[in-house]
Amino acid sequence: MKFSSLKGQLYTAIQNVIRIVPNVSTVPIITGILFCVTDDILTLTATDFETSITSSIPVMNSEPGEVVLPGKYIFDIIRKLPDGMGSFSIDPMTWKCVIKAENSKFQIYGQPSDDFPRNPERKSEIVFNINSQILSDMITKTTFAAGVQEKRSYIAGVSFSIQNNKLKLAATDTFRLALNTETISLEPQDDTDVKQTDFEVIVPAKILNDVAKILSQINEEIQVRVGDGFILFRTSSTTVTTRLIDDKFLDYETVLLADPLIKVYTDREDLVSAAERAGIINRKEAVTKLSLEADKIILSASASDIGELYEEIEAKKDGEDMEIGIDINYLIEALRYLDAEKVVLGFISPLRPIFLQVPEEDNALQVIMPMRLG
Amino acid sequence: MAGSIKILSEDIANKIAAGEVIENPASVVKELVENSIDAGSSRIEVEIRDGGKEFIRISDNGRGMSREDASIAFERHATSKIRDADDLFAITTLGFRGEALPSICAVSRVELLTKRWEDVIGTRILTEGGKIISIEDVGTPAGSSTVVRDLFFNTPARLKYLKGSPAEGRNVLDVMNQMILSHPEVSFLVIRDGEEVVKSSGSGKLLDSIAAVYGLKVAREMHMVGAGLEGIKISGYVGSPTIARKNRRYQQIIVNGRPVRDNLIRSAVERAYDTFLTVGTFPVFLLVIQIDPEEVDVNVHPTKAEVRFADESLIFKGVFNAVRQGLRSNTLIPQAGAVLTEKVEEEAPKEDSKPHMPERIEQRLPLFTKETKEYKPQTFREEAREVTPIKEMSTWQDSDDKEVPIQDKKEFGEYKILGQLHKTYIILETGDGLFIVDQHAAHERITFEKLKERNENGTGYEAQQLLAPITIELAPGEVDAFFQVMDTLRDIGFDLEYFGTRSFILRAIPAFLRRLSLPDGLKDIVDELQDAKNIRGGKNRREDHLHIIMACRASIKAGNELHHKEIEALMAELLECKDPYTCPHGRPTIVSFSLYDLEKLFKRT
Repeated sequence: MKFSSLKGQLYTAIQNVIRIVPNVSTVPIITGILFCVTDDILTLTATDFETSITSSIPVMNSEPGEVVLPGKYIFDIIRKLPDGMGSFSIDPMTWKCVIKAENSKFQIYGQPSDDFPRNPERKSEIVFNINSQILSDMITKTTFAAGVQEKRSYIAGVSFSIQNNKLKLAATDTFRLALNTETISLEPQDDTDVKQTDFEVIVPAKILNDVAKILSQINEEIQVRVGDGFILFRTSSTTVTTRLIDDKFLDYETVLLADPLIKVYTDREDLVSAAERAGIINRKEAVTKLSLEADKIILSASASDIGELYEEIEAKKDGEDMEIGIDINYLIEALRYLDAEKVVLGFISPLRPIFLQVPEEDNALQVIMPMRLG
Repeated sequence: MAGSIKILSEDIANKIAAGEVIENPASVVKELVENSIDAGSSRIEVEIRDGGKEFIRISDNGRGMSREDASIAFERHATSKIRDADDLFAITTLGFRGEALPSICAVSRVELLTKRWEDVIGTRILTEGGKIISIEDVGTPAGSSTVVRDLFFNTPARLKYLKGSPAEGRNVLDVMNQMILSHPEVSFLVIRDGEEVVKSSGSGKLLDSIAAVYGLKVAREMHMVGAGLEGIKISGYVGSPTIARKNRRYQQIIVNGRPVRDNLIRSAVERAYDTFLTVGTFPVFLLVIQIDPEEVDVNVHPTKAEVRFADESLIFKGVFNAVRQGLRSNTLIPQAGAVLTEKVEEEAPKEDSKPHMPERIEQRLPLFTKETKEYKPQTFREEAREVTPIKEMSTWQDSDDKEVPIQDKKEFGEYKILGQLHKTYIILETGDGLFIVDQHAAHERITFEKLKERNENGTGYEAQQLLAPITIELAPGEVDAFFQVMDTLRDIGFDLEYFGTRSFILRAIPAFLRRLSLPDGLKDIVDELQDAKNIRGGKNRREDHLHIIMACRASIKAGNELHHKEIEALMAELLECKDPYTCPHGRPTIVSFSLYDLEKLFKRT
């Protein structure tokens, strides 16, 4: 097996797959990356059993074959190769891999690929296309709201659903919710397995951050396929397949049924800055009080061992005056991921959800639950 | 003073004797159900009202009694199970002393309906305070049905010592749970105040009984054990370390069909779990021991709750080995060389939604927790993970005072955070050497002191509302435990409400407990609070204990990855604590190695 490739292309490809290669594993072969050459195409594959990523690039002077090379070493070698063309040749008897570029020559040992776990092609039931930048943006604005604990629970995941041609991404840690929506069309497909029905699945939030990074580097239509127990994101060169979380997501639609009685319009930057100042005073568990008055929001926080903060932000309010307690960090994060100059905050009562949106826009919604003042 | 010693009247003597056997409604239920089981019943229904103080009914489909037997049964020491003293040493039935029915009758109003299969007409006997009031013919299904009303109506002193209805009802339930577990072949139905509370199928399968009592979730994590040696047969189920509890309520030992408490067997089991469980957690298990009746004395305790074995060391070894083996073969031994590839290329597993993950790998996952290190061959290198590098290093100012005595926090001195080890310990470089900080213990101390301070200042606890209420489904045995500690939970910020049958609705949790995993974490807290009830030493001690429980739950755990900023904040807060060097349980938070210690280790001195 052999091939030659431009360093830049090869580096991009290996960067995409190295994300999930574990440093150590009880199954040592998965600390390696599978290199597979067929018809002048090199395909790199990595897996951690939860997720697998493949990335393909065109190569030259190739002879077909497969080898597993130690992940971290081959990544570092490729990263440090001189720019320009590099050639790889692997001896199928000894699995010795010789890498030549300009005046340098590396020799590392690989392993036969027989034991490397493969990802069989599976039937997809739903297939849709979406722009990579749009999806990347939706993911970023959603995943932050997921919780960290309990790996196999919906809290650690992001709900992907399509209903009436609306793609919705939602994440919650049970105290707040991020919801982003985009119109999508489910085109009929030739494949008879594809049903194109409405659905909801839960994708691990952790891997979605990697997906968002891969997608943010390109600007093209990508394909998303969903089947029994998996979801797959396919760009022109890279495919990420990951296991779904087998759980039931929070029924967030019922939360959204509530109609805010009080609406407050304000400048997002002003509110973020004030909230960040309150965050200095209020460490993790303490409450920050929001007082909604005629033409302002008052933020007040106090901690017996640190000090106090009082801040007024200009705002326009429809509805009654109210006082409500919140965890300031939730407010800061929610505002940070609402990408606009102005925001509108919707309130119902001191123990009911708070809705944050960009005025005149309903693609992005953040919900945070208040705290009962102690 | 002649005549001050008198022979008690028969009536008083009976009442006193009754008191030894019958302490509360639960003991009535226990005695009567044992009778039903001894009568060969396959279905037993138990109904109580008002905790059993007002009304207890036990109905079975057993052999029943003839009119003649039935009337004798109310006399003391009437038993069909023993004829002479020799039989005492080879007891196979549950009841045997002939005390149960007369004792119950002596202190209550009893109505007995009974009919043998072969008879056409049944018998109805009414008694009050031990006296038979009437015996008459009656039409009734085959079997016996005993109704006990107004327990202790004629012994006010005993009546006074009965607890409230919920507590007594709980005791009855505990007894019934034991019965269900020790008699999987009998179908039980327990009704409390008109509501079905527990029901077992009588399928004869122990696992079904476990599911009935402890819930399906626990039953799924139970592993079969079995061993036979020198006239002893040990069988039953032991729970995975993952379902270990904070108390011993989920442990049951059955010796020759009789639920017993036995420290010997319990410690044998817990020893077998050694290193699989963390301190303060207890295994879930149900062990059935069958032993030659001559090798065990069941007549050592008035309520037969304890036994004595002739050969204690044999029992200990037998149980220990059986449990160890069961644990190893079922959950904990890595199948070295088990390769994942075989299944991977075949079609994807359909139901489990884990595309790349052949089942065998999943099964092996629990192995890689710390607790099982001991049984993991050839993994030393994998264990030896590096210290997680931390990107931004805090600036390290050279400290002038080289002495850094750990006892005096004022001189804790400058330190540099080197990183996190195994996501469990924080490594600090100090002027004089090295500190290793247990991140959980440290955070526990911080949280504990904060909670305590809040309590002392009378500051309330903030409650974080949940986006959507969580329904918590409980196993039959857990409901009462929740009711008992409900007020405490509400005081600290849980918004919890009973939702009928076995569920509670949770709408908010204390803000400081945001990390709690629901609903399991809440169940653990309830378990611990239950145990804490028995803590002596007044209000302060109990409050402290409450804070310890909460601090433990609220704190970061071993295995949580910490960022540099978080470590910095943690250390700063730890040093502000009043007692920074131990966690509230008394374990150290910091261990120090001086350069001198290190030099000694490396033989540089």
